[in-house]
Amino acid sequence: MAEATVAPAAAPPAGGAATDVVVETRNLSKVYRDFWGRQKVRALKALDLTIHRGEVFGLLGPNGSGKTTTIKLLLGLLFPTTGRALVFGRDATEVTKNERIGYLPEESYLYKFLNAEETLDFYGRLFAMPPEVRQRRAKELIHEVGLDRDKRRQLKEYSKGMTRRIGLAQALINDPELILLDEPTSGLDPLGTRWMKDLILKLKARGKTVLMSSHLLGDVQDVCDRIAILHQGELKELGRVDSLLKVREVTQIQAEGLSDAAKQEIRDVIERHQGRLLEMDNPTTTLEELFLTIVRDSEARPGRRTKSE
Amino acid sequence: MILETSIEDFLIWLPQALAHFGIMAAIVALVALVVGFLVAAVRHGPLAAGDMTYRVLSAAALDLLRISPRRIMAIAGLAVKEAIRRRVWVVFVLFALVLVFAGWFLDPNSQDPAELYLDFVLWWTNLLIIFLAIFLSTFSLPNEIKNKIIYTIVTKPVRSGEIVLGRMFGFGAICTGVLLVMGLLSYLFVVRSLRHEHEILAADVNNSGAGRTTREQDHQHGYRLLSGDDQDPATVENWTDFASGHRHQIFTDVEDGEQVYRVGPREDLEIARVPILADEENFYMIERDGQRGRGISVGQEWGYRRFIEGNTPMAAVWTFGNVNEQRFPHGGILIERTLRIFRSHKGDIEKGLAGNMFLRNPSTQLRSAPFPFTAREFVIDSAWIDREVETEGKDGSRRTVDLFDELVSEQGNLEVWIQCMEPGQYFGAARPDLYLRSDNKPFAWNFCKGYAGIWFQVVLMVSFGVMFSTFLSGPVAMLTTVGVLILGIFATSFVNPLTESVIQSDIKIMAGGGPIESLIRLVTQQGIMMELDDTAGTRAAKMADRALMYGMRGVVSLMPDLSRFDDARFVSQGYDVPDDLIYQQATITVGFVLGTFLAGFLFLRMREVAK
Repeated sequence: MAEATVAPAAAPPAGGAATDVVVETRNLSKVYRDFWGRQKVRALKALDLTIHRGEVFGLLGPNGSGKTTTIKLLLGLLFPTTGRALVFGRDATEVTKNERIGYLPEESYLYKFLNAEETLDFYGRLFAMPPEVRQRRAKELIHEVGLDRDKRRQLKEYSKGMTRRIGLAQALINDPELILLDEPTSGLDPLGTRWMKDLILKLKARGKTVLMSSHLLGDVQDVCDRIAILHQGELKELGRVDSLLKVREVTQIQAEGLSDAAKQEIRDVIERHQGRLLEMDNPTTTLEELFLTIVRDSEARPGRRTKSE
Repeated sequence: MILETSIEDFLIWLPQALAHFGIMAAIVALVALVVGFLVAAVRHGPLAAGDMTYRVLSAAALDLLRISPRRIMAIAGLAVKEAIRRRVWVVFVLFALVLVFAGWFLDPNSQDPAELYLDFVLWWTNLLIIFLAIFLSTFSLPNEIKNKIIYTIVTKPVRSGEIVLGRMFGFGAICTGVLLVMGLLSYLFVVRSLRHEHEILAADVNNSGAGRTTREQDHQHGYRLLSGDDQDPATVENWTDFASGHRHQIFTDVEDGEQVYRVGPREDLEIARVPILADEENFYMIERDGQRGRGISVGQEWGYRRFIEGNTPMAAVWTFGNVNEQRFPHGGILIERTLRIFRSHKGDIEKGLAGNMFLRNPSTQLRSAPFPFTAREFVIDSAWIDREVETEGKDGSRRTVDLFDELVSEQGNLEVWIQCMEPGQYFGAARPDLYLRSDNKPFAWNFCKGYAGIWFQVVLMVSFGVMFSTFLSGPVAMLTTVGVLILGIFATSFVNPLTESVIQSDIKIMAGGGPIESLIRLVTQQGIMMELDDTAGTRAAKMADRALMYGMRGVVSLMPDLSRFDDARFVSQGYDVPDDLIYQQATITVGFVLGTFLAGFLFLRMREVAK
């Protein structure tokens, strides 16, 4: 107590800023070895990463680039060959960190002989949660991932999308602060992909930190604040998505209700300023948007029809 | 006979067992520590290795402290659910088939059907449940690692210890449930197959009270009714003779002034005998010259019984301690005996050999008049010695004394002497061949104790199975656990003598040598009793064998000796399973569960569950 009054003007301790750091890797490397200890693959080379609270962070890279290895190291499923992986400031191999994290594996590896309710109840029991909280959360999550109608069916009868949903529900059972999603949209139809992306943004809005890996660039671009691009185990690029993707030499203008004369005027202005017009066109929508519109329309008015050209 | 193995008093056994456990645990821990450190040192250098070892140990200790019963129960419950949904009940179908088979092919008219039936059902129960235990426990964890379900488990706040212990509990619980059902079915099967009732018709009883019962299940019993003329006939305890391995009690009622006899159920499915054995050092033989000695060897190489010759002063003497009224409250002593017979001439092979039994006070040397009997081989016969005993002085004078007052010494000791009365024929005897009986234990309870022995084995196999499954793949873990089972069953009878014979080069313990020597003998076609030529090659082979056998001895000393868990043999032979034995088995089981749990916990903790 005395010390606190003596040094009121002291700068906030260095840890003050560090508490904002959720995930940190220092010089993290992983070498896979065979039974005899001979080196097989260097899956990850000296990775330095810091992920802050409230961020959606994307690990991007082709297959075999070390994304999943990084996530497994952060979960303590693998042990680093050198370097350290810290989660909430603690070593990743410590079990206590798991109280505050949720993990959705690449494919939902769940007990096929359980149904959705039993699955969530079982995973809930692994946390220090009173039974009524556990039951309430299980119910809420089943509703949130849209499995109300199928909650009594065994998981072996589930489709890929449903398995993914229940997998996500089990990752969220403890209302985690950090959520690790390994290829969250892989194998999902556009509807599911959109749902997953919306959910990630919803989690972000609730102040959660999300670390996801993907090789589907569009998905990463849509939801991630920052990304790291890995290739052959090495970090190639790290930064904010918007600044990374900004093409500084090009200016984009989108406008509505312009007459042909007005468009011509804009062309003239560009020419006058020694600019070069690259494109002026009516934009096309994305196939994703088109698909979603059709599905929504079909849900609202069932029946067979073909859209005319 | 099962009584041949002597069972130590639990409280005497416990300190030795704990000391042994402590030493073995310390050795294993030390070896594990050194090996772990060396492996780490080779990979990361000695300093980092020291740091890693320290971190693993301290983190493991912390993890152990944080183990939560709630999570263990969750994982155990899941294991139960998994087994049920994976159709564990198939084992009941198999067991039902076994019982149906037994119903068709076992012969209730055989010499001792109770032993046959009990042996059969207990053996099959044991086999099925042990393999169920091994199968369940070894495949579960490797499967979860293989199909990566383990990812979603270990990323929850679950400790490795909870995964291991939860599985042990879960599979233990399933096997317990299955075993309970099997036990109930077996009990009903045995009792219903063998239960029968004889009748005694008053007209069949001759003047001396002797006769034969009606024939049931292909046998009938003889009897000689003791009529207490001055007593109420209902208070007289009458028994039939032994036939088909059992006897029945005969109850006498008086109806309309006539005596009516009723035969009770077979005794061996109602009660379990509680034998009181003579102390090892207090069983001896009297030689021809009347001195204490070891008796005659009749040249049966593998038998340990010694023999006494008929019509000589030779005798076999059992001394029982602590004989008093409180221990034998029924107004007398029941003695049961089964003697070996060795004939030097054929004689009347149908008839047993005549013998005499008498009691003697070891202090005053007062002895009772002889109780003559006829000995038949492999038959347990019993003699009821009433409290009032006629004694015979050296001069042949007879008087009646109280058994407990005069034939039992002041220290509470009583000697029982057996002599063979037929010249040229021999009785063979060993300590467990004659014993006193005080009270009986209910058969049903003894049946449960027999199942306790099986249950302990199941718990041991589950523990070993789960432990191996933490670092081996499913099939390999299963084979290794089966290896533990086989080593455990044959440890005392085969593996230990083998290792000792090779290590000590003593052909008397077991002939034939170790695996390499045996191979040489096989290839060169030399018998096992022949010494190998002393060449450099055979010497090297023997040395290699010895090294192998040291390894084998080390391995076996870490495994449970399952021959100590054969409670079923007591049950099938009609003896009470000694409580001391059950306590010992329970302690051994707890020790191994603890050891395998710790090992499994560390193995799982130190491995990467992902690839």
